[in-house]
Amino acid sequence: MHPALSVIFFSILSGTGYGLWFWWASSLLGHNRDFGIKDYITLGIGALFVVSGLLCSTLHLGRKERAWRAFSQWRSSWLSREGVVAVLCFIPAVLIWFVPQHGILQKTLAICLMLLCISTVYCTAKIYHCLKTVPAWQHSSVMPIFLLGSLYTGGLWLASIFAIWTFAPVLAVLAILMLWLMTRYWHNNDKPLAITRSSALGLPEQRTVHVFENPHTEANYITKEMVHVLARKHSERLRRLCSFFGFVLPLQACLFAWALNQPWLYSVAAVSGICGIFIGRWLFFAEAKHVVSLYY
Amino acid sequence: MTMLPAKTQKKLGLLIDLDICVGCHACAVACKEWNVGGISGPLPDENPYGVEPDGVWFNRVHSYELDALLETAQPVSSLHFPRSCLHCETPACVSVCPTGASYKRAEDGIVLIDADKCIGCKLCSWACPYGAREYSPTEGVMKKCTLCVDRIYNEHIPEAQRQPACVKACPTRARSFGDFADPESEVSIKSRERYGQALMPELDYKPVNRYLPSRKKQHVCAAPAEETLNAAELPSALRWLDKILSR
Repeated sequence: MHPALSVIFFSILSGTGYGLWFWWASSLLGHNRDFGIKDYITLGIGALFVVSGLLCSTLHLGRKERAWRAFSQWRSSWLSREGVVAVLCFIPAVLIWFVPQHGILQKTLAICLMLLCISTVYCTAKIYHCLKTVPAWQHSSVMPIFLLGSLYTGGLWLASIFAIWTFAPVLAVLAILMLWLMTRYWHNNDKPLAITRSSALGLPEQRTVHVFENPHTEANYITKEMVHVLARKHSERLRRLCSFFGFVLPLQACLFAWALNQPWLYSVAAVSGICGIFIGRWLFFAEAKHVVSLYY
Repeated sequence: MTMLPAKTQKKLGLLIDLDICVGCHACAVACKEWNVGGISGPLPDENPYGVEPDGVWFNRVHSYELDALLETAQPVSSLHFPRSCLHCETPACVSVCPTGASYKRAEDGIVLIDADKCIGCKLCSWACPYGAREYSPTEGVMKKCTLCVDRIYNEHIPEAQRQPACVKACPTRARSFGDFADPESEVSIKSRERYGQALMPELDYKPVNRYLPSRKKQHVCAAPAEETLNAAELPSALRWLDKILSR
């Protein structure tokens, strides 16, 4: 698949933003603390991530001025649901500042925000997971990769802002889980397509078919968008880079931050983590094979 | 609304006979010609006379080479394969559409795009396994086969012309158009008799169009036998000649 940068930035930035909001909201539940400067920074950075991500997602649209129409088909379309829930998140995120602190209303809003954040990332993942035409995205690891990925990058940023050293074990577990899931996903992605060219052409399975002539001599929309082959050559190296910068380095940074009480290491982990996830998300699109490629 | 109709009264679609298609691309050209000015027109071409011409086509004709099949003595052959929208009964391209621009008509099952609502997010083209939807960068919207909805119901053209442009243009009559919901329609009967195939049925989009596979070849001309020359069996003069020529 063609790895459109707008979609990659959207899923990573908004995913991180929602993850950050999720953890921040969860931090309001456990103990009663007064809002401080760090809370404003967290919600602000979260909003920056979320809004810039959502704006990125409109960049590849052919008709940006009609983007509002995408809120209408929530009954059938995951993309539409994602748009609706993404906007609904802002209601508790804004209201939470105007209700009495430590009150039951504030805790309820925090829970609403957590649920809506997770739902948004769930819908984002479903946009891809529901496409039967890209078998790699149907793998069982895809939903957890998006959901945990969002909590992971969001958590790294929360740890950087608040410098909470006790958060390190959670992040370390998330990093290990993510690395395991990504490895499972890549392993599955290396398998050839289960659907054959014979099935695509309505031929009996035992018939061997070769391409003799394509319908067009130049690339067209279908081949540019869905028969993308750029990533395969460097896939091994890119996977290693993703594993190292996305998970191994942040894992070590978090553990050192915890053990040596050096919270600034969380920032290293956060920046490195988001870079690694970026490579992973790029591969997610670039390596995925669409069944229409069987015709070519 | 991108919710799919539970049942359509008709299932209009195409029946394509792969046994007689010669891969002349007439269907593709006629389709382009009609639809450039039809309801979903224009079908823009970008840089048509430049180095990298590009453009939207609803019909693309692939050509393949089939290896011989020894078990049933089928010879090496070519396969010309016109690919277009199959007007699926449960099209994912419609249900993923976030704006309601894509829809399936309850009356005849045709899958269409409302160009005034489309935002050009391209997700429908990702959801289609058959590559039936293409993006028009000049208009910023998606384009697809309309089954010539502006011909088949058009009372301003003679009745015999009320067929999709690709069907009318096919010089070998490899394409026919009809209602697959009616078991007595010509397309249904032909499809039944000749084991009309649905493409990628395992994806369960229930395509309406059917492809008739090539008929089994009965009298296969044998491949020319390998030449064997046993010099020992030759008359002496020829044996001498063989010896001279073999030097």
